[in-house]
Amino acid sequence: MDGLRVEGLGKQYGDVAAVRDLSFTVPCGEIVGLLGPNGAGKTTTLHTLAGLVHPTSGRAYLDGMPIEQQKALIGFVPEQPEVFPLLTVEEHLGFVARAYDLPDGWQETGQGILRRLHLEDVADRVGGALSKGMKQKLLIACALLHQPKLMLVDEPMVGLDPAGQRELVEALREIRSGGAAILLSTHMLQSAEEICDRFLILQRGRLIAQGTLEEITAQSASLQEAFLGLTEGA
Amino acid sequence: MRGYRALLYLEWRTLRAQLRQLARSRGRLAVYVLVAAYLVFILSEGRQGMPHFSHAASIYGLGLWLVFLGVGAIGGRRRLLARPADLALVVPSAIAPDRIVVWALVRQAVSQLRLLVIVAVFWVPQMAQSGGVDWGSLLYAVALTLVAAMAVRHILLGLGRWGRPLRYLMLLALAGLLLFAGSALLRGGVADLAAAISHLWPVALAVAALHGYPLGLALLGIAAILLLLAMVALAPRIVRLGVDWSALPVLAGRRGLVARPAGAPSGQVGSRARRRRYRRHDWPGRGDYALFGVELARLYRTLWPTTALLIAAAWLAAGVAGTFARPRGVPWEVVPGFVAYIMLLTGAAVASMNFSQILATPLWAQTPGPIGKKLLAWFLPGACVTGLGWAGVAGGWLIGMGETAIALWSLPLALALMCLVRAVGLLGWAMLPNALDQRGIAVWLRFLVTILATAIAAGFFAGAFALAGFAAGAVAGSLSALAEAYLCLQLSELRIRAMDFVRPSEGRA
Repeated sequence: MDGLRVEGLGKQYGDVAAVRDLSFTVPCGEIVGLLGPNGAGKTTTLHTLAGLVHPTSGRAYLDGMPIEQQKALIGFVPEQPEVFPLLTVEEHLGFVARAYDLPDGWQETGQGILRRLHLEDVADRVGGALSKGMKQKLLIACALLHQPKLMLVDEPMVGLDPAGQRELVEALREIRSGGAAILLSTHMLQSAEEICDRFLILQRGRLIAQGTLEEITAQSASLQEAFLGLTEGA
Repeated sequence: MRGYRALLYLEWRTLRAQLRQLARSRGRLAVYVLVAAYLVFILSEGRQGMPHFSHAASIYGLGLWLVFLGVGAIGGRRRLLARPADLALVVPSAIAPDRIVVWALVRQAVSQLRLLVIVAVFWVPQMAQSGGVDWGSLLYAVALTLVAAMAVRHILLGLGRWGRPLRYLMLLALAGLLLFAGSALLRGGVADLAAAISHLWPVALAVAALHGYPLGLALLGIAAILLLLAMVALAPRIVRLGVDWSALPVLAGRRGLVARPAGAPSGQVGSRARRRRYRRHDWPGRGDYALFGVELARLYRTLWPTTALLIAAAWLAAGVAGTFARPRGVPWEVVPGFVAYIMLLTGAAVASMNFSQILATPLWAQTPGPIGKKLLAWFLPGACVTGLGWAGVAGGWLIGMGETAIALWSLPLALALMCLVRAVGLLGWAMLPNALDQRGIAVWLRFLVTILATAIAAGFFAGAFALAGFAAGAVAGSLSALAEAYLCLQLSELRIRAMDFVRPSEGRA
């Protein structure tokens, strides 16, 4: 049941502690929701795990190996849907295939992903001409192409239309059933409730609560109520 | 080679898309035709070099450009990861981080090469016609400068926080060197300087290489290869030092204001005390003029402290140089060259290369007030800040020479000329607003237009100076420059009024 294991992760920006002593696990075949108010350290945590930010302290492991040695097994979907403005949708997939050294046949996988995310009609359109939601879908497609063992997803629902959100939820469930671990940061508690197996709640860089939906909402009527109670009371 | 293969694919496809976009745009093609026509003209057989443009002066001018490029590479705020998508798709990918570092630095070097095209177009014909330098040697020297500058930048980045003071020291040393060379040129005459520098090592080596001598070329080649190897060898060290990739592209952004991540290059506001002062400050500008405050805040963040330090050092050095030059009187013959040099130097930097980003910000779209005032708010503070820098340099030199009155009259003239340069840049952007028109060969056209525009003010200055002295020349030159700037502003306003604030790019590949 390997997967992601984070031990004492911390990130300091000058005198600002963005993340403090964070320890948690995301086992294979689970979707873990990373919740917290603005500035809680969710994005910094994901950036640290994705290799965008160097941690000040702590380590992270994927399948027992240091995460920085397992980059080929990670898929990352950032919050800001930034794509290469002059590359077509297909060329984005071509770049990812080369970056991950995927064997021949990735084209079919890519076509399947594009079809699933309703991007096949815009496959020859350049990134700069896509809408925000389409860019978001493209980044999701890029993250899925190499069939990662760990998906790091930052606010994936933002910018997606309801159909896109449904497709994304289904895609994430499918990846989970394939045995991947998924760490998902979101503000959309209703969607999180629907999709996540467990939750981590951050406040000012610290982990203030974690557990399943039942455990988190043991003394509350809903996840939202529990979330507000925890974060406003902390 | 897995990583490099993917990165090469990325660059190749991007280049192909750029070329396709170019081929589709008639306006952009026209720019290329104009530049090609200029090249044919300047390289045509039987054409003489510019009058009074000696070989040594060419070397000196080229040297200034090389120093300028070096300063840009060492101290510039150019982003290591220029494209936001790099963070989303390149850095988190399976490509090894040290390869990404090397790729980013090489890409920066290639981007600098675009500037060098301008150098080559402007200087080489003059140098070739004065019988000294061949194209190959020149390109070689230029490539070496780039490699050296990139390697230095790389090392500074690798040194993290310690690289910052070292960077300032290097910039100050370069500024001092530039001014020393300038004052030596003015004191001793062009020929004397050329003779003097040709006997100095390693300058002699560089000069020898420029003349195509095998030993110079070979030794500089070895140095370049060693520097390149050092760059590649240092890449993993940068990664190990813990450079925060996400901090690199937002040098002057909000994150930089909050804290400066270890190892990230400067460009942030800096100390806590300074940040507090910044926040307390009641920026000027209300209502229609609110954007003045925004622009001042932006300049405060991006210019301070490197530029301020450089300007202060340059003022001081100019004063010293002026004192040295005092016995020889004011060398009026160098003034037009000096002005042209300033225009070339600052034209690209301060003009409107990034105006499209500013135009797309909500502040532009949502703040009340006419576009003309918004444009004024954008270009006036920047012009004044830049103008004050160069006016200070000229003023320091002239005061050092005992020409205080001329120094004072030069101030409004320099400010007016900077307004004109910025306004011409703005008009250039308004005429060709596509991102592809802000770089590459189109930059050369901007330089030509800028120089031509300032020639009108220079003519007024020269005429009034000949008739009634320097003060009259300064007034006439300033007024004509401001009138031209106003005209450019009006034309820009007309163009921009018809634009969408946010411009989608072209659709299919």
